[in-house]
Amino acid sequence: MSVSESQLKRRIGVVVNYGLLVLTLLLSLTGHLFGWSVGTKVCFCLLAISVIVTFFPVHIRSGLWRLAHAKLETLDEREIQQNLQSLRHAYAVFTIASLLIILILVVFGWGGQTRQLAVFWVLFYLAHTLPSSILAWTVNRVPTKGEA
Amino acid sequence: MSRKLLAERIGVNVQTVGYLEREEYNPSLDLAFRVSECFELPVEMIFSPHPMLPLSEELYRRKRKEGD
Repeated sequence: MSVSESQLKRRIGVVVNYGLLVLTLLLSLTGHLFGWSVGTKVCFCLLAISVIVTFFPVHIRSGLWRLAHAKLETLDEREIQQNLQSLRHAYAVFTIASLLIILILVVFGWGGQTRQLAVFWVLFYLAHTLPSSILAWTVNRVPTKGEA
Repeated sequence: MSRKLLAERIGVNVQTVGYLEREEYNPSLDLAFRVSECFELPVEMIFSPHPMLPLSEELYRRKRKEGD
C-alpha cells in the first residue's frame, strides 16, 4: 500500500469515527427535545457502540495512538516537534468544540442526566483522541511498533 | 550507507532520515552536526538553504566555466 493511500485510509477512518461521535451527540441532544423513545435509545446505543468499535482500527491498530502518547525519550527531535504541533492544534480544536457544545446546551437547555453524560463522554473522548487524529493528517507514514 | 544505518549512527528514527532526504524537515544544529560528523564532511556541504543541483548539471556548469 502506498504512503498516500494509507494516509487517506487513516483520514477517512478519523472522519467516520468523529462523524459517528457527532451523530451520537446530536441524538442525545434531540432525545431531550423529542423524548427518549425505544427507537431513539436503541439508535443511541448502536451509535455509541459503533464509535467504540471504530476507535480500535482508527486509533489503536493504525499506530496513531502509540505515536501521540509516546514518551518523549522514545522520540527523536522531528517526532517531538510533530507531537507538540499536534497537541497545539488539538488544544485549539478542543476549545472550539467545547465552547460550541456549551453554547448549544445553553441555548437548548442542559437537559437530563443522559444528555449531560453524553456531553461529558464526548468531551472526554475528544480530549484523548484529538492529538492522534491530527497526526493522521500530518504524518505520512506511522512507524511500526518496532521502529517507534 | 543505508537509511537504517545512518539513522542508528545519528540517533534518529528511520523515517526522519527520509524526511531529511526529501527536504521535508529542517534539522536542528545538533542533528546537522551529527550528520556532517557521520559523513566526515563540513556541514555546509550537506545542508544548504538553496536546493542542490544534480551532479551532472554541476559538472556541466563547471566545464562551461572552465571553457570561458
